[in-house]
Amino acid sequence: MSTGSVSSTEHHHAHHFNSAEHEFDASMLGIWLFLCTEILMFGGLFVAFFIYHAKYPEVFAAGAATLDWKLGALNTIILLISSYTMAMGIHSCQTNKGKKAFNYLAVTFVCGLGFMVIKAIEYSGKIGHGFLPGKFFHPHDATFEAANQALYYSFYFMMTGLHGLHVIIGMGLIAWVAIRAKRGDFSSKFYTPVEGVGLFWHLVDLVWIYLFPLLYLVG
Amino acid sequence: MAHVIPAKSYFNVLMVLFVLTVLTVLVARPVSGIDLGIFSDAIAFLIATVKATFVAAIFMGLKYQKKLHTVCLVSGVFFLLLLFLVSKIDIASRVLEQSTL
Repeated sequence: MSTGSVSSTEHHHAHHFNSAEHEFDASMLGIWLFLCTEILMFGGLFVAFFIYHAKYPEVFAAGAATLDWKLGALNTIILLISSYTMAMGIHSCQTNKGKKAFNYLAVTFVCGLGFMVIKAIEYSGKIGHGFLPGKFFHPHDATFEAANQALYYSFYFMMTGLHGLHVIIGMGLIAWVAIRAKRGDFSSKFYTPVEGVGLFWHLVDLVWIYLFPLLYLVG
Repeated sequence: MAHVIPAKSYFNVLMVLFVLTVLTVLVARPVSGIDLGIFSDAIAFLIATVKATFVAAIFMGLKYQKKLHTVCLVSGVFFLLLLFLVSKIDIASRVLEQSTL
């Protein structure tokens, strides 16, 4: 991308765009269209959740009672903080503070890691009790009244699993933009990758904002 | 390029989100002990939607971006509501066959 006369870290818009602004707008529209497909993917699970919740409320109430809402609330707070630091990371790039941007992005990454550690603690607890989805559901130290109690854990693991996968992918992307920010790739003139990764990370937060009350509190 | 949102706005939104999270927990049945039936679902969902709106408008910057980006988000939500509605109608209008065994 660079020519001999300019620094290698300076970004130049691709030749098929009229200007840097044109390139930025096209990238943003692309990200938003991708986020729309993400909403539809998670949405399918949410629609199924609402339909079965209305049909078997007692199954979901008994299932939610086996979760620790305090861990869910803690994870909510962690993700909200990470969304804030992500937004501040972009803000730092926009105001030409590359070093600050790296720090904010690093905190965001650590928050993602903290979220996954808490999730792992929760998962190992559920697996230890035999609270697994579908045919793998074999509770050995608890009794449930409903015959189809496994349904709740199918939703729990599918929804939090898909969300967790997004957190892991998001952490990888954040690490990538953090390294680039440290290298000095971003400035007020070019920060498209940070903005794109930020939008993805906020969507992950958005999904959890709905998952927390649905899985942990309502039932 | 894009509008630079003041850092103070981000911090204020974070504080609002904290307050709403506490509210979500406080009104929930396992914590408050108040059983509002299907309304507890609706209240939890309503608070979540208020939180989601703050995240989308300020953190994601939709408020200051092109309307087209909001159209992308809202069209996704719209088709989701359509999926929910049509699925509900399908299930509610099914005629269950009685077993003759």
